[in-house]
Amino acid sequence: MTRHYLLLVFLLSLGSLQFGASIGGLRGLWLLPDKRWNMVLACALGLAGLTIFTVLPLWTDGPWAAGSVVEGTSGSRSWGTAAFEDITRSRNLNDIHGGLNGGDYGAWFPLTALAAVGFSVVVAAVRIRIAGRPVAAGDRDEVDGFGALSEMDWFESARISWGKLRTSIWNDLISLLSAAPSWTLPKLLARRWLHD
Amino acid sequence: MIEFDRQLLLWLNAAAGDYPILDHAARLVASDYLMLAVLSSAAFGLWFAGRDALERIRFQRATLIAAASIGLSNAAVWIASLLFERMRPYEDLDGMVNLLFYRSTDPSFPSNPVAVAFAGATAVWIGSRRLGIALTCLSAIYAFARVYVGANYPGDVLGGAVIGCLVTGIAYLLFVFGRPIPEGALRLMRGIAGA
Repeated sequence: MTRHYLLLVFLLSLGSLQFGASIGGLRGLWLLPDKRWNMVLACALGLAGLTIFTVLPLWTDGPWAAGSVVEGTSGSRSWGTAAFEDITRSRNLNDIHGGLNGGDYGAWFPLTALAAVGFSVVVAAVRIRIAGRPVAAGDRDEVDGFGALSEMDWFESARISWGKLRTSIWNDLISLLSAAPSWTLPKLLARRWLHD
Repeated sequence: MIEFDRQLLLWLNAAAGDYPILDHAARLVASDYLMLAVLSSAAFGLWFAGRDALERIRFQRATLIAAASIGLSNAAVWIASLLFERMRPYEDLDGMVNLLFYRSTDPSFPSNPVAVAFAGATAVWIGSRRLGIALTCLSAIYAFARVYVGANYPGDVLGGAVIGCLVTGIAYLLFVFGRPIPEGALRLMRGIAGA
């Protein structure tokens, strides 16, 4: 069940990431070079995740064997593959009978979403480097973070972003702190600390 | 009030078992997995969707608030379920509910998955009104499906929705009072090209 859930979340979050990155123009994360096709791919990934998760019990063994899926209980099921008429209920399992509990959801979702980010970073970088040219011309040192991802792959963007972070982090944090209203907690604490 | 909640459940659940297509759809929607994964991944996708620096910061703040409010909603539901120990409809109204779901052993009030869904949806609303409306509609469908399959009373899902919205408000206030910590975190993430 956990592996199936990981596959669902990976495909859904990869689709969602690609859709968001297409809207945001983050070419350095796109799996395909064209925005429209990347959005189509994003939708296909999401739909594939939902479909695969729903129909997998037809082919894989689990606590949903045909004939044992009875409404209102999940403790008396036997192990095996599901019947077609049971695919909408085969996953409805109590966590004490083989379903996932809240802790599993909480732990696995962010980790799998991070794996989707890693996958996008690597595949997009390979795609861009195989193409052998920068995605777009421009002054590369002007922007950092996601702003730079619209023009280059993540590895190049990270190099520039890290350089800018090292040189400006303290000034940036001090200017953020001074721009915060006087009633915010960090500012109150800072004032108190300076008084002491 | 409790009697009205029971009558409303019996009315909403009356058709369960009569319309196979609706029953299959309700079982899928009410599942613990699909809808919550869709809502969470939509909030995750918002992180990447900003078209300029300002919109990006707004969206990413909303994603951070969504993550915080989902965590807080679980804690709030746990506390509420200690205060109000309510039996599930199929225990309370044995034989009168058409149950299309498994028998959960958790308390019925408030509905934990509905609280999580509404917490995520309302947090997304802070960043993107259009996506927020869409996710709130999905959360409402999810809440209805939980009642239709006989897993919760209408009052349970309503309580879950209210808790989800309230904790999002609390998470938002924490972010406002905590300024510039969230902005500082976003600045650090920008340093590794992660924001």
